[in-house]
Amino acid sequence: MSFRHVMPVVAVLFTSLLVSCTGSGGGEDVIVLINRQNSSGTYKYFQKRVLDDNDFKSNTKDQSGSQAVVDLVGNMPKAIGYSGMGYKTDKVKFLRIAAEKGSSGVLPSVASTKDGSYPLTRPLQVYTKGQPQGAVAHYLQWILSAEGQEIVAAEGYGPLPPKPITAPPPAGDAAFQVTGSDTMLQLAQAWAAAYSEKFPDVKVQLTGGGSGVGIAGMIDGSVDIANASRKMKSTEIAKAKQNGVDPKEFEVAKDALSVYVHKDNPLDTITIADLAQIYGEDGKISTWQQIDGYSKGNEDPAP
Amino acid sequence: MSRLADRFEPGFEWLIRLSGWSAIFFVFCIFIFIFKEGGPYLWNELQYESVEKEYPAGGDAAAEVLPAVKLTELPYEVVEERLLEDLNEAGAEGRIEGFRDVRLEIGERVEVVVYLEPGTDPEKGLAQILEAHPLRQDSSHITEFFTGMEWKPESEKVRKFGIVKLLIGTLSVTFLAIFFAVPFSLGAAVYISEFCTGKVREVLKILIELLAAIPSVVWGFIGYTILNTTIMSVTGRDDGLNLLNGGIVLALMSAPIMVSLAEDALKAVPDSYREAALALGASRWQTVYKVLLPAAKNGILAAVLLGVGRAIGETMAVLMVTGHSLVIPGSLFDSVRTMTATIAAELGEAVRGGGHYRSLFLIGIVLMLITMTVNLIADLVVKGFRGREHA
Repeated sequence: MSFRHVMPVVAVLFTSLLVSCTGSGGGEDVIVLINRQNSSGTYKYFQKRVLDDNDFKSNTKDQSGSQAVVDLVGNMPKAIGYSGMGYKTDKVKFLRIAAEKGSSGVLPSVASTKDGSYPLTRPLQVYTKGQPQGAVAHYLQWILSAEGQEIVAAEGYGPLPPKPITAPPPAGDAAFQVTGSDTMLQLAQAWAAAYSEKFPDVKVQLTGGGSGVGIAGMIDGSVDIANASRKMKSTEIAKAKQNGVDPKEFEVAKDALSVYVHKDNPLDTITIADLAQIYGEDGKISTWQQIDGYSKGNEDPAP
Repeated sequence: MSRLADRFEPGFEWLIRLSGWSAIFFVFCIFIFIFKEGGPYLWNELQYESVEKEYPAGGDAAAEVLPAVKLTELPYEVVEERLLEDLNEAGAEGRIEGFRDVRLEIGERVEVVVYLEPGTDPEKGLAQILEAHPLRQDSSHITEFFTGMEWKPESEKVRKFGIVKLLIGTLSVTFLAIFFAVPFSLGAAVYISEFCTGKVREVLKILIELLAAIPSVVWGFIGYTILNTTIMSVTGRDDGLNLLNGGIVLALMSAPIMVSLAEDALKAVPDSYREAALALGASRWQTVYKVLLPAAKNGILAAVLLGVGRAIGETMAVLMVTGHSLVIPGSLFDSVRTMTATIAAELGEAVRGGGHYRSLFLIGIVLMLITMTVNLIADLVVKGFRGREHA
């Protein structure tokens, strides 16, 4: 192999590459599918609720965080993505979700999550090792109290009816580990911050990673509280019990799984059936023009 | 003073020796760990045992006699479908239920309830079914791993663990990156070693080393934001996270190592070569092109190969910029998913010890073997180069 022979080949390849770069895209607006990574709780919920447990298309762009999905949609005018309600930015907008064709759909909001009228409302839960004791019990009850649930609404999640605190406030130093759901991370951070402000002796050590990470920690018994945007599977509970951990489940808030598009996208409403066609493996929708309301909105952008 | 130093000398010597050997020790430990986690995937066998099971009365009329097959050490989930097919096919005597809500994992005991026609002797019927249609336990799972096109480790239907698309993703991004990086790195190396002198040279060297020190997540961020929007606006496409983006970012990341090593290789060419070329009246370009590059060929090749190793192993940046979708790229504007990014994105939430977890470790084994081969070749190439030089 000599450089005299390699160089021309490289040069030809290089120019052809540059030429091919200048080709333009198609005329139709292809939907850029933003998805979560396949082990996330959000992914699982979407798969179950929207796709009816069918598989996703393989050309989805899988992101490993709730925030990343929204950021990406904000940067890409033809993208669609789903994530927690609390992650909205100025560059994106929510789509109204309609249970069936023709209905005007419901926007995700604290109110529509609270009264359950938003179709993609899902419970967020935490798991504790057995019946919670001491500081963990008080923290949990504080979360479920009026104060904790106000933070839920402020962070853009759906609050639950508040419950009174019966456990005694923590006496002296205490520390516990909270790990899990990425969807709940913002909320958990707000809780931990407000709680530590009120009870400075209690250290809430919070990390994210995903529902699966939290649940894995619960199975190992290495975390005190696991945040999860999906419920533990029966096999996981069985595994935890083998390790001597008896996970107890508490619903702590509701989340509206929101469908995000770029703020300039003319579409306002989408049906769950259409979402399934967009994301599902055998789905027929691949361009925005195939969705009712997109082209119409294009001609008359101002509502 | 010197006496004290003398007394400690053997100790220091041992410490130095130990730190050298510890590298071998760590590599060995990493090997053992990865093989321990990923290995069961390679040698697990499918076994089953029949277990009598009492079935609650008053259910299905046909469900009077109900033995259950208990499966142990199920190698992996694809068997699930096969098993159902096999047993259904054989279902002249009965039908199968179960599996609906059960996610099979390696080493997990799973019950398959076999419904038999009334009047069939359960033991005999079951034996007949299993004899006529033994649960396939050939090497299918490992073959499927290396030849399977689908990567669906968390499917609710049939889980599939084929790494072909991931392998192609890794190879295509790496190839593109090297393709971009080699001309520029070579140019930079030649410029630094042959064309420039004094301060410029020192500054350039420091800057290139600085380039190597930029964390990969920062590169990822650049690709994610700046390159993404640039590619979108230049090409008019709706999507800038693709093979091209990944190739550019990886090229920028692997270029510094290639520049440094290629420059070293050029420097190693004895000055007598340059003097001889000059004496023959060769221009600077002719010297580089006809004398130095051919002379430093092996060193440059090794530099490129080490750059390849760097590109294959890169994780965070490619996870962010390639789009991370399971597609075999047909053009520069398709997204790809690499093996490293798959591990990074999925390992955290995969159930410990499950099929998904193990298959991710198996990907790790494949990656290690690939980088090991590349580095080994690079080593051999350098050895060849040195050998010839001294000869």
